[in-house]
Amino acid sequence: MRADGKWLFIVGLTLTLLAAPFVQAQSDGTASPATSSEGLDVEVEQGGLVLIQMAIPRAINLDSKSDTIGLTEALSGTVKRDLTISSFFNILKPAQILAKSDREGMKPVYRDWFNSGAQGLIKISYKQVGKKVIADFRLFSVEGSDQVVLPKPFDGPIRIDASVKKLRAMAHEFANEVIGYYTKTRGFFGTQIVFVKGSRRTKEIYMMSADGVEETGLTGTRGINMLPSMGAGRLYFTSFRRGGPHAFRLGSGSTRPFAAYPGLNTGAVLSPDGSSVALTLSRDGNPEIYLLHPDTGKIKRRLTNSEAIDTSPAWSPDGQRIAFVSDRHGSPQIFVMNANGGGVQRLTFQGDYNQTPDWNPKSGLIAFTARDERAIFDIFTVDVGTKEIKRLTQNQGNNEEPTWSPDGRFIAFSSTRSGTAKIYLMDQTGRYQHKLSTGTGAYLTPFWVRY
Amino acid sequence: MSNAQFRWILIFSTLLCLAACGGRPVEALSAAEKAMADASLAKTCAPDEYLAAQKLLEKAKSLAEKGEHARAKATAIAAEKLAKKAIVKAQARKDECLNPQAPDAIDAAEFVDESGPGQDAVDALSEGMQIIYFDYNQPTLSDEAKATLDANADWLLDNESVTVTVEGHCDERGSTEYNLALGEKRAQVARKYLLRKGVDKARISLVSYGEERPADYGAGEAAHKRNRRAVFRANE
Repeated sequence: MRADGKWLFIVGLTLTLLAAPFVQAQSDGTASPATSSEGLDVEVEQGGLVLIQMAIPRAINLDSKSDTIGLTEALSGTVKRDLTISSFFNILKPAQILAKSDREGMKPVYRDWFNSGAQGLIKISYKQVGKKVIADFRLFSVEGSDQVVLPKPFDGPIRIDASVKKLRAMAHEFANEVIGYYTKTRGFFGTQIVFVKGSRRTKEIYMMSADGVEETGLTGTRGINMLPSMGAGRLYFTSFRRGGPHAFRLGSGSTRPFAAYPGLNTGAVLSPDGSSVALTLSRDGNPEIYLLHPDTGKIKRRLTNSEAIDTSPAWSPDGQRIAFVSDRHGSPQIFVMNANGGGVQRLTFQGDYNQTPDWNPKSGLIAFTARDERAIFDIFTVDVGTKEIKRLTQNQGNNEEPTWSPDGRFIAFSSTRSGTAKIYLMDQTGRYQHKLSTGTGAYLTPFWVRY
Repeated sequence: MSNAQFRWILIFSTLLCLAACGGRPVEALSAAEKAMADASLAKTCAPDEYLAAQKLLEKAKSLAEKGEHARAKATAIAAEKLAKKAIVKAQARKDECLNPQAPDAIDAAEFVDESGPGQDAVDALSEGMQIIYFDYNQPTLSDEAKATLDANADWLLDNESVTVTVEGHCDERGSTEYNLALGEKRAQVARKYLLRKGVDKARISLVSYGEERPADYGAGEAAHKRNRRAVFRANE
């Protein structure tokens, strides 16, 4: 079928990096249904992924009290959005559903759900008791006519503080369990992405939930704040607020200059074990990568030593290696080294403008931004072991600054495909693409908080 | 003197000047004068830019008097550019500035000011020193940039009391962090050149703004060219 042809073409592309032919390599996360005459519809996303047909009716309010603070939306709305974003499910539309969810309560009439086309069914009920909400999250296999047993705390009703935030957090946990049940790997919902939101004169650091909502501003200085990263609950960022650029740290409410050596102090990022911060300093005459003490900002070690630019350090998941960018051979390319500065290896040899490496937390893949011969920026991966390169985006504006999800299956990045830069999500093949950010303004340099 | 004779003298003197001294920058000066004349609206509606351009033009004229033709030309071109910018800005805020009573208009004027082409005006005011420009993704100096740096070094040697900050800038393409590094390299290369010309090390500091402070917010190659630069700012 047509979709398979496209998939083969993408595989072909990976063999010839920067191949010029223009094809529509990605769908926009849209699915093309292939209906069958049976009770079940098998929906196939472009690219050949089979989607699980999931029904998520509105959470049932067991109270006579009406839902004044948005409990229903915080529960079933959150689960529905998560599973939609996850890429693994097709969520049935209300008009497709023949079952009467509110009337049947938590005991589904399987035949009605089966005839609606559902393979899986999620039902949530809740009631308010004082300042608590007692919520019951359940997953049913419609095909098996049975409830799926999920691990604690989803093996029974749960008491949660009656705040939208707490309810959403629990709903994310439930969505992660459901994703884990179907795909063997839990989802990433409930994690955070920090990023820069820019206007012409100012850039501020923001944070959002990985489902694209709950945006919060973290700096608000009306200055230029850049390159956020976060680890162990502390935000590191780069700012011109006192000249610089200097590295700053925000944790437990106060913002302090973290590194203010002469010249550049950019792109600070904490190691997975929290023992060091890697960043770029130019105190010795040109941009080099250093390790600093995570609390004091004192220099522990200088890692690179070349006349060229060395910048953009990114930690390997075990903290033993660091990927970085260097133009020591004439153009910016991706390199790796040991965390003590030894064992330097060049990873990319194609193209003359490769930047912003980010190391997959579960594998040896490094995602990066490359500029092709048309001066368009796109996202690629390189395998640290084999140095094999794969192209993930094409012909959808400029796509830059990839950051892996904590489960290693997805990449968030900044894209201009719809005009002003927004944050998008894709899987590691690039076949699934989804717009994640929901606000206005330019969204730049996302960093997915992973530890 | 007949008309024909006059013409011959004019042509002869122009040729002489071109051959001998690189030429009094007649064309650049008159272009700047014309741009200033066209910018009468800007006097009211973009006064900062207008005054800065006027100052630059006067300086260009006095440089030309002193026979410093290369610098006079560069300054005249800067004056012309700034005058043209003032015209564009004045046109954009014409309605507000001619009817300052309307409260909405004042907000709008502030908005224009916030997002308008202010940076070039500030760049052009770098006292006595000219901006140098770079090729894409390069921190190396062109012959033109070296000539400008020679003039900047001369000026710094003449004005011993001035300390200067060299700002390195990049165009918007490429990553935030790499461009900060590239801007740093550009500023360093410019500083090294000034040091070789005898400017005291202690008088020159550096800052890289990467792609964060463009002179031109446009997206085309013309804008990119204007943004790949090092600016020499005399410290207060």
